[in-house]
Amino acid sequence: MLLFFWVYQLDKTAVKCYTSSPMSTKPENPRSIIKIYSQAIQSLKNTPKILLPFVIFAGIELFALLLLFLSPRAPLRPLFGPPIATIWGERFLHYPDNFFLLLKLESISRMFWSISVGSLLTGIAVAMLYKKPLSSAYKKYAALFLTVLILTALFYFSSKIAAVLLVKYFLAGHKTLIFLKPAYWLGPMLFGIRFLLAILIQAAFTYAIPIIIATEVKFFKAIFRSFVFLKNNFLATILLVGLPMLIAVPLLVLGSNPFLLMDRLFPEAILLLAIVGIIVNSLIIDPLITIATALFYFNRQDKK
Amino acid sequence: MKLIAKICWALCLVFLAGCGQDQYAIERQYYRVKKEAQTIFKSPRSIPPNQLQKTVGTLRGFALKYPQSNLAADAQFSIANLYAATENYADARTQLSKIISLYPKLNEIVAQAIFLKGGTYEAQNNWNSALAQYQKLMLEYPLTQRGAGMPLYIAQHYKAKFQPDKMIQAYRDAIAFYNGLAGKYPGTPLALQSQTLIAQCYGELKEWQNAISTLNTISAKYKDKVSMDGVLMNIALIYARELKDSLKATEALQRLIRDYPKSKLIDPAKKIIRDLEQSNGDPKDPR
Repeated sequence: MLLFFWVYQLDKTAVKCYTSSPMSTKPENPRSIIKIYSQAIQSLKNTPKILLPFVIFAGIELFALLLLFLSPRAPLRPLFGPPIATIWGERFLHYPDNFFLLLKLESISRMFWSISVGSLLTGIAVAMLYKKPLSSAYKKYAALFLTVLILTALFYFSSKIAAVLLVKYFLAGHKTLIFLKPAYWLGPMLFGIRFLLAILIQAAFTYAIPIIIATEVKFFKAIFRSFVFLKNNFLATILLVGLPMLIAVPLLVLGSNPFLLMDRLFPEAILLLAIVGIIVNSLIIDPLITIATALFYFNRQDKK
Repeated sequence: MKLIAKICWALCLVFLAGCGQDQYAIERQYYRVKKEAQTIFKSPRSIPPNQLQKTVGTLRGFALKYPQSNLAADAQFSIANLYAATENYADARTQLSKIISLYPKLNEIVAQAIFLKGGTYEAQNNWNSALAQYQKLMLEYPLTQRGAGMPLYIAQHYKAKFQPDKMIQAYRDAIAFYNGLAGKYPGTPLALQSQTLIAQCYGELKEWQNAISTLNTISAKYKDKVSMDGVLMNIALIYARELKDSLKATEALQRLIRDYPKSKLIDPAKKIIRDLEQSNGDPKDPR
């Protein structure tokens, strides 16, 4: 009964697709995955207001980025200057060195806003998708907040640990690791490891928000159910989460060597890169992953 | 509505920050000027003369527009460096003399200008004139970073040119110079730096006992003020590699491990101890 209610509450286009599409029987088929994306895009076309929480989040991020960009100048310098000088060094308050720090500050800002506001906005987007009252997201803010906090902390610390372990390994005197030299491991390989970690951790928690919004289960049970669902649909989930994230790879590669970008173009290119990054992450990747995984989850529940 | 208006005003003020002529705006302007100069530094022999004059003009204009900015001096030095890079040594020296007259009270800037003047003579293979500039720098500005480094610079010049007699004499002069500084300003960071340079000079002369004695003096005098883990490591390395005394090397390293348990040199120290034990047998073992 509950499952029927969920499906009934879903966006009409999505429901139509579930019942008519072959992907509901073979979701791991790559073609089926593409169909889920196309349904997600169709849902956004039919109900554009679902995109509103993501637009609000992008707006918040852009505003925060603008403040960070202006942080070395009056009247913001007295506020931002002391912590930047203490943590990273005084030189990052001067042109053009401030641009070396801008992407790092933007990433910290994104983490902060994702946990505090993004968690709620994602919950609201899922509630809109399921035609649930928005209050269902407000009331469960604590659970949404904790979910995104754990996800972010896990990714942050695991990527740090990966880097520290590699550095320690090579500092201990080892010349290679699986036939590759430190330059490869601490460059492209570490980049790849972090990217894989991001996909795995996001995949593990991606169903927790739909579960929290659509059911009355407690926070830990929602996380547990998300893990179980990932275990049962591993490949499909990895594809649903990983494919949109591939869009960000060129931006990540460009951002990994800010000096080159600044030298070849101009320092403000870093700011442009950060703006494009926010647009791509918050208006393309996040909505695609959130809506596609939410649709996929309910499709699977429906089958049961 | 009033609150919204106030918020809008506050936001406008914040965003107008990007339009002011503050230090940041000056730095941005200087970055562009410097970028223009960098194209000349990248290929100084293939640029047309009018491009050099144009860039020098831009740098000069910047220095005149913002004379109070610390970047003005940098712009003046960039002009001298541009002349030197394009082998206009006479113009470079004229520019450096101008810098000395512009900033007579800023010793570090004057010292740097004298040093670069010497460098232009060196580039023209005129060592005697260069040496005259370097000796002037040593005598008149011994407390500047450049002045303090000159005795070693001169000795290293002779070393690079394979002139051993002059090199040995230059190191002896350097030791005398640094002893004089250490004696004149005892207990100061300058004295510590001088003593360290004395040890380095003894190292260059391969007078290892004197080097160790100087490092021990540093350790005894400054251990309460500065971490001496690096000094102890140097003592250990001299004993191990130069004097082949693994027992004393191990003693120094064990002292390092005992006195500075949080030092970054702990792991390398332990590794050296292991290596010494492996190559010579356990030094603690009486056998």
